[in-house]
Amino acid sequence: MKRQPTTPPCPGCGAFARVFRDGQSQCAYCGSTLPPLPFTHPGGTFAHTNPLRIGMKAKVMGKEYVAVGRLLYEQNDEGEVYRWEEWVLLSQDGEARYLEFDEGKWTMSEAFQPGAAPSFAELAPAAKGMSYQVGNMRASVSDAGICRVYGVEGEVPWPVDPGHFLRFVDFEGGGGFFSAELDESEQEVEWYRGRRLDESAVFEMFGLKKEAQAATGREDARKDRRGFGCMLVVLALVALIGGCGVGAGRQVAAGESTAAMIPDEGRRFGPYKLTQVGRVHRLNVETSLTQTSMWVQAVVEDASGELFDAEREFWDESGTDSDGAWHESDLRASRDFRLAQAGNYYVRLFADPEAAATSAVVRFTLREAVIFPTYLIVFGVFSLVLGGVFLLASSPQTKQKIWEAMDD
Amino acid sequence: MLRTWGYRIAALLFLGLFGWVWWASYVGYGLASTAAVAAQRQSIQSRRSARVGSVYYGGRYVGGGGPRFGK
Repeated sequence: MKRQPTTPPCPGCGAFARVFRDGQSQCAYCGSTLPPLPFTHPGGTFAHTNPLRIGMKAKVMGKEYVAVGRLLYEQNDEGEVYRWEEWVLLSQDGEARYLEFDEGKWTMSEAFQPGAAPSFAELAPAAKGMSYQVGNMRASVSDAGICRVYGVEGEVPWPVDPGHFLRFVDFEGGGGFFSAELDESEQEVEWYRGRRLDESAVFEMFGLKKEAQAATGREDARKDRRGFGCMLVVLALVALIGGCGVGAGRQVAAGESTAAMIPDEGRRFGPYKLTQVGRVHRLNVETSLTQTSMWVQAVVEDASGELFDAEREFWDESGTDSDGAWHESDLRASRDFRLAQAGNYYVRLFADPEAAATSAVVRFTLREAVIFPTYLIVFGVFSLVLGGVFLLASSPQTKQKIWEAMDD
Repeated sequence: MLRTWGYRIAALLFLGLFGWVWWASYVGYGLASTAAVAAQRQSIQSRRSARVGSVYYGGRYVGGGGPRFGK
């Protein structure tokens, strides 16, 4: 499709832009009735997906353009049909710009001639991920394929054949967006460069103030969803790191004894001076066993008697079954508590071992200024999930890709 | 910076909740303290006495060990 304006200017005012209105071709500026183009495509047969209409005027960097026509494209990518549209904007002096609307994203582009660029033959096998030298920059292919013009309406100033197939290559590089259209019949390449536009900026250009305001509101809400999602993920990570990684506190007491050395009334260790009033303390008890079990209880006491315990039936066993060898054990228990009063405290160990476990060593530690992890972990997991949902909701493309991947 | 009031309020609520969670984790909100001991003492002793009364058979306590212990 050679995008060379071929229509004659208006004999009255010299403007090139014309619109099809009231069943006839009219100059977009002085309103003169003009002889119809041999390839006029009266509109009205294709549904609109945005508020733009043929005949609307837009200010692009201070210059006025008229939306003279709309091209509708579709691409069949392994059974998935993608559709997008392109508005042809024509200035009074015949300069063309192209406004693409694809899955909610707007791109404004214009024709340009890169100094040194790949030829038709070099671009024919282009595929996503390949890179080419375009002008003085290295650009990588972001998309390539064959699309079809399935509809056209308005006074597009060059012949457009609905049903025409078009090979395209999209590039990204040098902070910009490029695309090449390959003309199969003439073995030529037409180059376009463009930039993404916010929806509100597009509507502002066309003077659609209400729509621009609504679009700004939608964009603000989307940006806020992303910002809020990011904030939740950051808070979740800080909470999870705090809950799982740091906050183990300082060790203030430790002791050990073989099970056989622990009498029925228990073996007492201490006293240990605890001073961190109002802070969390943790009593840990552990042992090492092989193919046996032992009940262990560690009790924190003060002068008045028992206060807290950590107790467990510890065990270790291994064997083989139809899945092969296995080894399982449970050799550690702990208890968190708050210190209400500073003073001297003791730890008493009790043990009830099997015969094979009497030589096993039972160890305990007492730590102060521990960060109690449960609230942080619950908050972290909840915020991480919620943050992920908000981040997904702020990016419709990512959400769609995930749905497609789940469908596959 | 958040632009809409709904998200601003939600962000403030979450920041407040985050602060409360850290405070609660720092002081061990809801954990038993060394001040209340009567019920704790009873449960410590009952756990020990339950162990003393368990059944010993074939060189091990019945019910002891892991999910596959001795099976």
